[in-house]
Amino acid sequence: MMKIVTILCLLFLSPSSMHVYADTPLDEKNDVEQEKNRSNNSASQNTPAQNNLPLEDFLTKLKIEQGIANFTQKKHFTFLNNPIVSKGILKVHQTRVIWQVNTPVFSKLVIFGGQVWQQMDQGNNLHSSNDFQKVASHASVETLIRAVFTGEINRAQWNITLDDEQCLQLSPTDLILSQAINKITVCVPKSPTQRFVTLTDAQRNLTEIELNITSNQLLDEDIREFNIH
Amino acid sequence: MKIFVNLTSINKLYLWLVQCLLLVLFLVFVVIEKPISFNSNLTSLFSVEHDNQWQEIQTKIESNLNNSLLYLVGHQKQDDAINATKNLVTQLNKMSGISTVSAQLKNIPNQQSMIDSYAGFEQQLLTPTYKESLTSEQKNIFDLQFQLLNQLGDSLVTKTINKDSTLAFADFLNRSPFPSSKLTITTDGYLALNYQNKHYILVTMKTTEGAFNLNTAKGIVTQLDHLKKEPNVDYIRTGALFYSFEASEQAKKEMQWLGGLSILATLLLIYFAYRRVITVACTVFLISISIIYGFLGLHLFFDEVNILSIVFAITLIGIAADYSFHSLTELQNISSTNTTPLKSITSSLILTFLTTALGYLLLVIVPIVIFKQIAVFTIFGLLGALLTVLLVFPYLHQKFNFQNTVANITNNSSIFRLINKNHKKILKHWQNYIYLLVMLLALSITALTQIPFSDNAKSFYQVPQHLFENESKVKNMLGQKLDNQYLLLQANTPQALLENEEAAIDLLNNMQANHVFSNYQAVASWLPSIKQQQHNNQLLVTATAQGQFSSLKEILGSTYLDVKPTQQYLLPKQWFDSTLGKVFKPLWLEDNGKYYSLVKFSGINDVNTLARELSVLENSIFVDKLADTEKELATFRLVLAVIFIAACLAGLIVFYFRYGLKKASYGVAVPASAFAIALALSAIFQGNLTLFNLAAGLVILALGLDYSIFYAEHGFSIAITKTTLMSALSSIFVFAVLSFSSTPAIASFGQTVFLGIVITFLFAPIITKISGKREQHASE
Repeated sequence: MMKIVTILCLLFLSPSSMHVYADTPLDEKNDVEQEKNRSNNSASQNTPAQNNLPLEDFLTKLKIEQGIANFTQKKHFTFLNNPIVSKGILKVHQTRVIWQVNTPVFSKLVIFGGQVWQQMDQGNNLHSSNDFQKVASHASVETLIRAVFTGEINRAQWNITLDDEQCLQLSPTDLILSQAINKITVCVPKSPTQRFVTLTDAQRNLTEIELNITSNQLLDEDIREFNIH
Repeated sequence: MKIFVNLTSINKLYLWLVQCLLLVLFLVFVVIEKPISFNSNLTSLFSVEHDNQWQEIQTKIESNLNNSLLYLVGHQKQDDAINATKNLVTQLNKMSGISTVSAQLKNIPNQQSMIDSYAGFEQQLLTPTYKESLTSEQKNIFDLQFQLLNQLGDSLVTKTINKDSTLAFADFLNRSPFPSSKLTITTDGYLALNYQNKHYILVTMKTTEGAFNLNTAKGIVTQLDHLKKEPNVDYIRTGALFYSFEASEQAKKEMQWLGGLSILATLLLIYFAYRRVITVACTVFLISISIIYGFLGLHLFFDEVNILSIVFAITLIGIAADYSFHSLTELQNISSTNTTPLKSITSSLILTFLTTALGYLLLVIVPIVIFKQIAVFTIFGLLGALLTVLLVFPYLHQKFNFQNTVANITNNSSIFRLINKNHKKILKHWQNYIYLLVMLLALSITALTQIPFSDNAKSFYQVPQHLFENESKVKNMLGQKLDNQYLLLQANTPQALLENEEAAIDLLNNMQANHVFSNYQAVASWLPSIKQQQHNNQLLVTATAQGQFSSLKEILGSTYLDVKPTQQYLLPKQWFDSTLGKVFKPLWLEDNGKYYSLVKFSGINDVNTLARELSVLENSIFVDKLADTEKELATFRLVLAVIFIAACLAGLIVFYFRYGLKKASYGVAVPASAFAIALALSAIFQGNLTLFNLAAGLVILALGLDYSIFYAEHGFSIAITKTTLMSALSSIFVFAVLSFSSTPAIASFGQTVFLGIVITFLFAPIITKISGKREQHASE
């Protein structure tokens, strides 16, 4: 579940550069990634001062107060010919996050106070139920949420690099995380409303998430949605 | 009694020496054979020894819980924190008293090892949610299956799809076997957390002895204090051991200070009153002997003595010193040639001892360890004091000059005359004072009906601020951790126990959904019983036949494999050897051919509902130590109140035969009323009352009856005023000093006794105005 939080948080990074990664076919993407890895390796030989400055700037821009975005998630399994596609909305309010899948099957997660809560009675009526159950996680999600929204990513858990194409590359150093996630790439195109996240798991399955920010403001009704009790 | 009168002084001394020698030899024998140990377990202090099937196993479980301690080693750089941790671990491993140190985790269950823990049994494991989705008409299993397929960053489906295509197994493993916390695991296996821009590494360790064993606690804490620490590294530690150590240090400090002050005040009082060094020496000797006797009693009856009992036992000093006052006053006025100088007060002393011992003996009935220990210590101590006064003092009287100088008599007497004069004024209007006492009693009883009782054991002692802050910080840093309460289940076979747990889990899941608690850890939620495995497999087979997995089949295509009916079942013995099973092994116990399991909780929000709902389960017990203690304390204070009434009645009966009904009634009524008034005053000062305020009643009664005896036996005179004043002052010193204790339990006890003694001393002489038996003798 911590993985989910990490990804959700990363989805909401601030725009800084354009990237056409999401439009690239899957095989080519892998090549692009390998290329990026190479460039990261060579970048890692630079002095810390050279690398840290843009990264810190990038992380500073991560701070976000509130907003709503639509997302499309494509999950490519190695054992399936077609990706599993889902659509939904993401809402952020201070340190709270809602990750809601609307189609094809409704599900809703609320993340706050270091905990992940899942809506239990998941009907199609989006606001029909307020019964949430805490989801147990291996490690602290609170640290991750705080990290991403304050730009203080826990270096104990993640190796962080910013590649030449202004994509943030995260690879887990935490044992539990590394068993599931291989790498997360967050790319921010020039368009201020778009983000692209790719996640490669330990079995080389790839998840692509495209995010379109629709609003930087939340209505009172949206804010109330974060209060699950 | 005649032996104390008829023997010559030297023979009395020989008799005393012989019994003393025998007792010392006996004490040495007992110390060698059955050495006593001191502990500081403040929760077990108030608990009853339950003679039931659960007691033994509970003791085993709890002894395992209180020997853990932890360190958090922090630095701004994680590598430096890890290096400091390595150094700490090396040093800890060399320490005595530490059995295991753990910083780097090995064999942590990862996804693959969790999958391997169920190899061959994948299609007989269902979560309640999966089961409900299969059986409920309102739910569609595909919704759950799609969520699993669609889950962000998940690799469980990929890893298990070829073992179970229904995704029931993936769903079964899609949860954490650990309670949620803020800890992460570094690639080299260290448990790390980030707090205020520092990286902390967790080091846990277990001590060879329980934390409450003071014999080892001090040694371990001293060694830990002297460990070499890295510069700029933050070391935070917590554990029951540190509380235990602080409690013992505090108790020791209080024993030294409060005991020292009490003894000093008593000795100064003696010197002031008798102006002879020999009187001071005699009293020191008497107190020392009584303490030795007290410890002999403790050694005889207890294997383990609580440190708080010893602090309470300071009260013995005040009571034992009374014997000295009574005899010294007598010896000062009798010629050294008199072979039986204590003849006239022997019966009073014995009667005093009997009433006091009887009062304390009643405390032994109270099923609270600390009261038993205080009672045994005091009764034995007073016996030693009585024997010493009656057998040794006559000899000392012959050898040393106890007489006071005339000048001093005048000086001293002026004070005693003043008190005596004031008492005379009271006696002049004694009936008015009786009305005053009755009025105060009525007011106090009215006030007491409005005062709440506090049975919270935690409020009886004060946790040192730095330890409390450390614990809060660690709790905050680690996030949620397991609560102290747990459910204990029992059965004759492992399968029956799993079935019991499954019945409990049904209730627990409902309560969890209602946020009664956040989470729980139970073996059966990871290892279903054979019955449950059969049922689960049958559900999957039926669902396949009913076409419930058709939507999933469509997505998975050729990857989908049908469910096979199972013939073999996963058994506890096999599962506990697996990586995941090892995590749950500590929750599974075998004792005397019976099987026990624990269900642990985290984030309990409503412990009363939890306890109530679980009470319907058979062969189980919900253990909530603090709540149980509270319940017991509420019962004990009623028991204590009954004991106090019984003690009053016992005193009344003894007094009735010696002094007649009227005198007896007043003699008992004064300390009883003094207790009620003192209780009301204490309640006003404290805001509430505790068991320890009630416990003060027996001491007030014991001392108050002593005053009544001396006035009733010897009448109203300056000598008796002197004796009772000295006795009251020594007790007042001791109990007033106790009321300054930093331990609220001791302070409230001291305060009530102090107030009670002042009141009882004030009204005690009136007994001489009440008509009854021995009036003639008293007036002499």
